[in-house]
Amino acid sequence: MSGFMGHEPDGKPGQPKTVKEWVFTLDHKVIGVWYLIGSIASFVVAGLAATAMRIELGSVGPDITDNGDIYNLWLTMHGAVMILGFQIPALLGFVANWAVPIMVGGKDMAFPRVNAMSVWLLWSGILLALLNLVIPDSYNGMWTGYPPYSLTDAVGNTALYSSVVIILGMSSVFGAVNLACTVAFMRCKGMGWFQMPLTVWCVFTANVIQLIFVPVLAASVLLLSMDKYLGFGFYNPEVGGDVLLYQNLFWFYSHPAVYVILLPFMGILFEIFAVSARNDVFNYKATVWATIAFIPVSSDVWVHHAYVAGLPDWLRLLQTFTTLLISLPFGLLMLSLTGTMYRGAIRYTGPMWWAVGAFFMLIIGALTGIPNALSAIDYGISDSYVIMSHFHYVMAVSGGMAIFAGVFFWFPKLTGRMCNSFMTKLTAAGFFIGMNIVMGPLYFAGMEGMPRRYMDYQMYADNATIVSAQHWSTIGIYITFVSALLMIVVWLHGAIAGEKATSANPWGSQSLEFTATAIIPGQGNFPTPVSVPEGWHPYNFIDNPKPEFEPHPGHTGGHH
Amino acid sequence: MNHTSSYSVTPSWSGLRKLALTMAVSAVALLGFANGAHAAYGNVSKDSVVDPSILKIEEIKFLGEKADYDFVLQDETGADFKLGSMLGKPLVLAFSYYTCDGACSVINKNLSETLKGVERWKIGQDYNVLTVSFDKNDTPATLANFMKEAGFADGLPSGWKMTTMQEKANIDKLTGSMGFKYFWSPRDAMFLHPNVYIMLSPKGRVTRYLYGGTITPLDMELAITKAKGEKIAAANVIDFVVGACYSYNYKDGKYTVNIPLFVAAGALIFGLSLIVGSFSYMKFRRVKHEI
Amino acid sequence: MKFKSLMHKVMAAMLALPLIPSLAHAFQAAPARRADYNGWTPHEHWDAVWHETMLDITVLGVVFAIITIAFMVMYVRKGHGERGKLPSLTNQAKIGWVVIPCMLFLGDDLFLYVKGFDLHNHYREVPTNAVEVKLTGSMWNWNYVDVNGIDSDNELVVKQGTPVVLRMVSDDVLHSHYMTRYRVTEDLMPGRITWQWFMPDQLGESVATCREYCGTQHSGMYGKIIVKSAADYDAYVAEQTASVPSVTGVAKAATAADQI
Repeated sequence: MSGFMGHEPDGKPGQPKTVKEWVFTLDHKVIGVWYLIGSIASFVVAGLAATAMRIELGSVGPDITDNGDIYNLWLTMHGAVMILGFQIPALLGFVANWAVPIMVGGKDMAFPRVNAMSVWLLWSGILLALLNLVIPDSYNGMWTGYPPYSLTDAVGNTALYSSVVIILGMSSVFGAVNLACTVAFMRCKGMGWFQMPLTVWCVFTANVIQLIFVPVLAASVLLLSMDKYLGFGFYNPEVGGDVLLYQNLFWFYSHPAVYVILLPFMGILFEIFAVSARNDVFNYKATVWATIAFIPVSSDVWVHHAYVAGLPDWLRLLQTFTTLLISLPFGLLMLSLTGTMYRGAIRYTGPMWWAVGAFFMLIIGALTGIPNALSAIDYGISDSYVIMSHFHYVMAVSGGMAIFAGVFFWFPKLTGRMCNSFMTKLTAAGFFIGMNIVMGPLYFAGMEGMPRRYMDYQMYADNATIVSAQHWSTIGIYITFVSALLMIVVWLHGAIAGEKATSANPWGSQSLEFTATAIIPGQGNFPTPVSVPEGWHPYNFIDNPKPEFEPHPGHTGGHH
Repeated sequence: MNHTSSYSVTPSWSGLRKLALTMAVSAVALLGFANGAHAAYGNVSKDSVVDPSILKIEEIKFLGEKADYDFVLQDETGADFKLGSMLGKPLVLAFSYYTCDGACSVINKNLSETLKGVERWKIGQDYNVLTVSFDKNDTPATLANFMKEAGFADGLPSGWKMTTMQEKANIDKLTGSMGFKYFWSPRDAMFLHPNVYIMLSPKGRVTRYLYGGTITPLDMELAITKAKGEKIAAANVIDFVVGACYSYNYKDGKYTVNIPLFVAAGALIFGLSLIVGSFSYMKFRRVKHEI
Repeated sequence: MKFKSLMHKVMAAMLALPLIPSLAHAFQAAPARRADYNGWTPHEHWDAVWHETMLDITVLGVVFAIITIAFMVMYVRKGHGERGKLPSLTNQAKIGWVVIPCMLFLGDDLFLYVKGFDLHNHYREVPTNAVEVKLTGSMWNWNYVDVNGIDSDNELVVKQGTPVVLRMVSDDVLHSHYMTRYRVTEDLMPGRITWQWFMPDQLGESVATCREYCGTQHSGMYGKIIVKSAADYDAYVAEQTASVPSVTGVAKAATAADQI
């Protein structure tokens, strides 16, 4: 492959030295780091927006702003940037680019140049999205961008929204083609499909979902802009458009997009659980098939986002059932996670603290999704804080914690240094407690009727549950805010002045990115082409003769 | 149409003028009064003070309105029957009056032609048709005469009834409940009214207004399909899919193809072909390398 | 061998698990025809299904969490170099661990589905004696027009005990009409008619809010549903209709025609 900036894959430790090398790199690991930096920057921006909104909602009446447009701008930025800028790039950018190729024993991604294009498309998308904070007619139509509101002048710059979604969509599609090909064709000698780590399986499946569904979103959003600026009227009922169609198309992508986030972060949990418990993943093959089952199952559930949108009754009832079916593959994944603990030898490292937090929050997040699947229950809680709390438990609390667990897990491989273990655990506890105080009470506020996307709740001023839930939630955000800030400080401190990693495999993993590379994997990833022996399995801790914590050069190709 | 001569009305002129006025009002009132509507009307009769917009149906206000089951109607033999007996299937409702020598017979003739073009649904079996006179002076006799003129001398197809109503109050209640407006123009000695077919759901709610002269059998078929909506089950998925491919265009009063749906379907195929394409590319490249 | 064939029978029996809730449901009277849904209003029915669902997921969650916590405590690493000892599963066990949990989940899903189906029908079948109110949403206002022609903004007065069906349309963008007390939401859209119904069973006021994002004052788009007793309601109607004579569109057109 010609993608190594003229160097032969020599496995030399270290990273690019000059700015030029950093920017024009074709190395998947450096690109992965660019994804990580972009997604953490997005997390900071969207997190600040969340904090501002939470403070505004702390009490009835204006707290820090009385301007609905400003609040709606924060809300739009929070939702769009968290999902499109933080979660998807962290999982399908950082994890997919940095970890997956090494985990399958590949030298790089299948198409390094396409990979570089993807990451810079992501960055231009993020920068364009941030532009929304400074332009005068900023877009405030939420990340969903439903017409007809997004076709009015009041919404602001719809073109910016469309461009961001389309650019990030292109980035995702290129990235997905690349990753799917990497997993399918760049695996090292000896590694069969059912010998891949579950992280790889989850990211692979998520990317297949992206490939199938992202073009639909990009097309529907493109038509939105054509509607607004060129007057086509695709979504305008006055001239024969269908006002509901956009919602259907949007969620046709965006519900699968939830699994695009869920699967990779569960993949991280599998990796950390197995490594920390030094145990095989429970029922590995069934877990893989459950992961794959998400592709067909997720494609037929979108109507549960539009139960109250006047769609035919039979369609609501049909998709209530298909939505409930998600519990089957998802339940198997949860069962595997718990089963991985059974008779394990669990070591509670820093990443494991984050992962355990993510796991328990996923129990809450998943189970609170069950009532929402019932169309009839949805009539009472649609677009309320019940929904908001549910998906924050899944995506923000669990997803966020799993992503950070992954960052802590691979941190030594990125920087060659360790994060302070105590501070890692402290921030994990702080984030866990803080987010529960933010999101827990809001579930009860939602049961009382509190709607989403409100900057104020004057009409519920005499409802003690809602008022005190909002109050407590705002207290929680301070704890979360401090923990997240501290976490970033821990990373920065770790990267600059952390204790140097003495082992290439600090957690005792069996996976190739730890066992067969230098402390910081060099270009070409492996000192010599890697292969795995017959019967090798990434979670086989029992039969592996290698001692814990000892760096070793890995399998160096003696078996073919 | 020479409107300058409208002051010296001769009997023949009068007839012509009536027809012209009828056609104009039909064309205008019924197209939703897009641009040019006033101009068209103005050409016919500058001196008239009639503003056709008072005939306009406020569709949004009346869509979903429920027809009263209890109205008593008389058919051409004078027998009473209830409006409710026509429901249970989608119902195409046309308002006319039977002493009309202009557009009314045309409305019914056109409707008959349009319905003949609807192949998916069978009249009487899948839907019913009802013509109601809003003129209280109409009697079974004028109706029978009208049927001859409108080309139904051999009787109506089963599932189609033409009726009269005799109570002015009831006529107003029925037409009013659907936003249908008409009035007597003493000057022209005729009723001015929109040339509209009202589609009712099996439960008697207004689901669509279709304007005569602009619609095609496809529009009628889609309107019937969508009116059946409540009854569509998973077994009739094809009807649902066909219905979803079209949406109603308020400006033109027709159904138009739902373009985004096809664009999205194209995008979906594009995504799938990306997977297939990139995999086959890799496979091909790999084979070449190995050779 | 004997044990193995017993296991087969147990596994086969588990396949029938999801049928249990469905059959149990089928043995009840057909829900749609069950007399007046046990006298429930839809929102009382909703509360019942909601509590059942909550109980269901709480039990599931607590059991699952307790098992996991037990594992996490019991299997902490005792010493350096210790490894996990997860027993390797036989093929039969592998399949069993897929089929049995899936059937349990499916059983629970079906149980909740039939509850939800029943409730859905309750919400979507309007009683024949319901009075119709036209609701038009616009940025950022609810406009109610009832059968008596009483036209009011952000305030709807209804009679206790008479079901009300709202026939809704939007003037501009999407809105969604949610009544806190009656637990029902439905979107309002331009060019499409949607509806919802509720049973005002208790006197007093409750809140109606917008639940579909509609711009700057989305959170300012709320109104009141006021339930009055029959006598008070009649007095209210008399007072309102006396001051505002209702003129229908037909009457207007006729008046215009007469002037010509």
